[in-house]
Amino acid sequence: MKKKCLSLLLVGAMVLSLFAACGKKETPAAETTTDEETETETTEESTPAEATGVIGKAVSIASADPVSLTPLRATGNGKDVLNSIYEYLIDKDGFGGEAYGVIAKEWHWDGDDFIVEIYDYVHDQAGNHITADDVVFSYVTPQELGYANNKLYTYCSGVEALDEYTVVFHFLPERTDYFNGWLDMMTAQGIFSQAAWEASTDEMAQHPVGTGRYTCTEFVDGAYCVLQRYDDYWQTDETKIGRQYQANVDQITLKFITDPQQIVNALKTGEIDYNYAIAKEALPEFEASPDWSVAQCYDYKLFCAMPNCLEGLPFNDINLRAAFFYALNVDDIIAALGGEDFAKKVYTYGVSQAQSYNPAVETEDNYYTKTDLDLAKEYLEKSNYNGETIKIWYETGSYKEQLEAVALIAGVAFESLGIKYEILTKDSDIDSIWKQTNSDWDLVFFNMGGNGHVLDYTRGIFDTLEKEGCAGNENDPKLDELFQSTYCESGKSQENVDTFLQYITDQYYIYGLFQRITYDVYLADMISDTSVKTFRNWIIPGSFEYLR
Amino acid sequence: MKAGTNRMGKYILNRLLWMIFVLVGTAIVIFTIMYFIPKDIAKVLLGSSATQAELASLRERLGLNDPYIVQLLRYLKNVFTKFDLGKSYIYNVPVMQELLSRIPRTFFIGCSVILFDSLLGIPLGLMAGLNQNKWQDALCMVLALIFVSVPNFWLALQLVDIFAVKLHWLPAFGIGGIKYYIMPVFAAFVSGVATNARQMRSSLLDVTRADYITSARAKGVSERNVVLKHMLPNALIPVVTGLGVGLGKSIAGSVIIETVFTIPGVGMYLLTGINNADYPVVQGSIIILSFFSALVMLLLDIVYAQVDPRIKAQYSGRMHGVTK
Repeated sequence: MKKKCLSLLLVGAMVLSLFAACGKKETPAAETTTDEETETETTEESTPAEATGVIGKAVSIASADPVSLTPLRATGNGKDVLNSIYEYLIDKDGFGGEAYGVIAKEWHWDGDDFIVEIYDYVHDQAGNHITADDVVFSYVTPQELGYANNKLYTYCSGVEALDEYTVVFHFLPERTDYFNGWLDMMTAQGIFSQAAWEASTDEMAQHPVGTGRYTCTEFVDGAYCVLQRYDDYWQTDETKIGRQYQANVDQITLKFITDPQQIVNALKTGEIDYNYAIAKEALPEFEASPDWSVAQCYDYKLFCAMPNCLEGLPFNDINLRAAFFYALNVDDIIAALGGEDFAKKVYTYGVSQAQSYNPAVETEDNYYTKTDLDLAKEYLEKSNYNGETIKIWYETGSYKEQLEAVALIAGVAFESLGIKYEILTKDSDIDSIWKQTNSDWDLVFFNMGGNGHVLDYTRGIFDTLEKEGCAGNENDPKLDELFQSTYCESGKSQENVDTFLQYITDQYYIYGLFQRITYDVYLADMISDTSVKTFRNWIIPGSFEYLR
Repeated sequence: MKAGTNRMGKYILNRLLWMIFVLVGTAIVIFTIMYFIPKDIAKVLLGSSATQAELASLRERLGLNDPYIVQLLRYLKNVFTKFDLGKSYIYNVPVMQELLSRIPRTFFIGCSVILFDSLLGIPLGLMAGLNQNKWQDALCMVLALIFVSVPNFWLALQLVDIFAVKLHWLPAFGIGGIKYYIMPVFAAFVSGVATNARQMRSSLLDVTRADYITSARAKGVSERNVVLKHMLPNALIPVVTGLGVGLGKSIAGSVIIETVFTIPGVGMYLLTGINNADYPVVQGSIIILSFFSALVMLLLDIVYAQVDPRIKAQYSGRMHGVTK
């Protein structure tokens, strides 16, 4: 009997010990839909609304989980959260415009030195005055702590404070004229004060202190983040505040939802008011409802085809390259991806919303988007192709589905020309194939990301400073010369950009296929149709125009 | 009595020592698997625009250039002497810190699932076993068949559609009060109810035919006492084992439910780690999950030793002629 009691006791202890681990009570996620619902949510612990006082305009949006709000990791998931809290020295207008000063008042080059003067009245959300020493601290600390994303020493030999409000970045000579190099450096790191950093016990992971328009009042990793407008924002001159630094709403709740169907449900149940890139299948329901607005967005990722032009490989022959591109039916690719509502054919190696994109290229005559099988066969006749099997690679990363469709349709093109082929997959993280001279492949399909300029898509492909070499310009001095004279701060004129892009088109070195079209869904009576996102589709809820 | 207690103490100590071996073994296996995945972490972290110099520098800083054995020993030393599971490559947040904040959610779901599995599965199986070939048996087994056939992710989505989207009774996702856990727990426990009911029925039928039950009935013991004192304790042994295994499974297999309901638990953390090739996250999550699975198994074995008359006899010394 005693043993039975003991066994029951042990079972009870097991269950209790397991439940004891669940002791921490969660704070309910923010509810901003109705007063009644908010009241319901306040039963257990304080809600975000309670914690921050009376809320006027509030918006709730699905977002990626940043996991940590530390300023040391200013890129990757949760950029929309981090960009609302921290600010850069200089930022690029995310809507296709020019660079402008945020914390920086003025800047100029002095030889290889990039000198930045900051405003003398910047303070963070804890009231700490920001000086040049804080800027240096912001840049150097991530390097000292081993964070991967801050590339200070890729571009510079060092950074130092000249006086209380002047910082000098000592650029490496080869990076001084490097395309967008200085701007990359300026947008590599959000600025924070040394005092706030030293007062934090967790590298500001849970309790960030930035200089931005919003403060984080609540952050539950994996669940949600509540941002409250910071009324004592340091920049009082509205004319100096960029479009992505507006604070048009009092409170922003970002909910980290991972499942696409749950995002749709969250919209339907009023848990969120806005979502970027809604699932294709859910669109008709939202389009049919007067309660919702649906906005079409062009994705910044460019889907491409690149033949391997190395000596000794089949596509070293320009005629074979031409034969393939004239046989490839891009319209079939678009159809396979759901039609013109979901993918947009491109006419150059770049996306249409990028800076220096020339709309004049959008004709069938100057690009090989028009399928011409007879012409393809003529080129094949002229080529030295002698029956080799063409090895097609495509990446199996986030866009596997799209790239697989492209590879299959490329196979059809080869079949129509009587060319043997095999399709192979490659994990994009394991081996970024275009970065190295590699003879294991003949044709690769992949996607490239940009940062606002059409030349961004050439980085890592034709860029010999960044790479040891690549398939396209390995054997073509003219290509290399054109690239070098274009891909730099002093040479990025429209004329040079057009000449370079036309040259790689004429030589069939790389082929821009399409860009994705995605759809945002948001409450029609809450957010204006004119609300926009940055080039890279980062949601900046503070900058939306609110109707109520 | 003292000798029996000592034997039980040694048994527990023995199991605890084995648990250490299990954990070290798990750490070695998971580290080795991740090590040999042909993925360049530096490329994952720095992206496609990274230079060779940047990649080399990061590899050096992360210690990726060291030989396998050096990396393994360093990892084991950190895990088992400092309880340091490393930092996430992607977010630079200590894995242990993240896991500690997520474990309660995963455990809450896991324990709730087992609780409902027991409360519903055992009575259902009991009813079916005691009424073999009658309508109650058929009803219970049909219910069990339905429960076991429904995939939990599908059920989860249907529940969300009905109770969150259409009726607005429950939140569709996220964490907060207890109502946030109702649908996840329901979706997770349904198949376990079926398994337990079938297991209970099967064990009960085995026990019903045992000699000691016939003997008890022949001695005139009431049917109620036969069931409660003779049949149930013996029939429960495999069910208790199943519940322990079920707890381990529901904790380790929490990925689907946590993903569907956006619950930031260990399962979702593990999945994020896999998707991001964030090796410290994957390794740390697996070690922690194996630790809790081993712990549950240990507790279960202790309970089992008390419940099973054969094991109880062994550790009370009776089988070796040691008197109480």
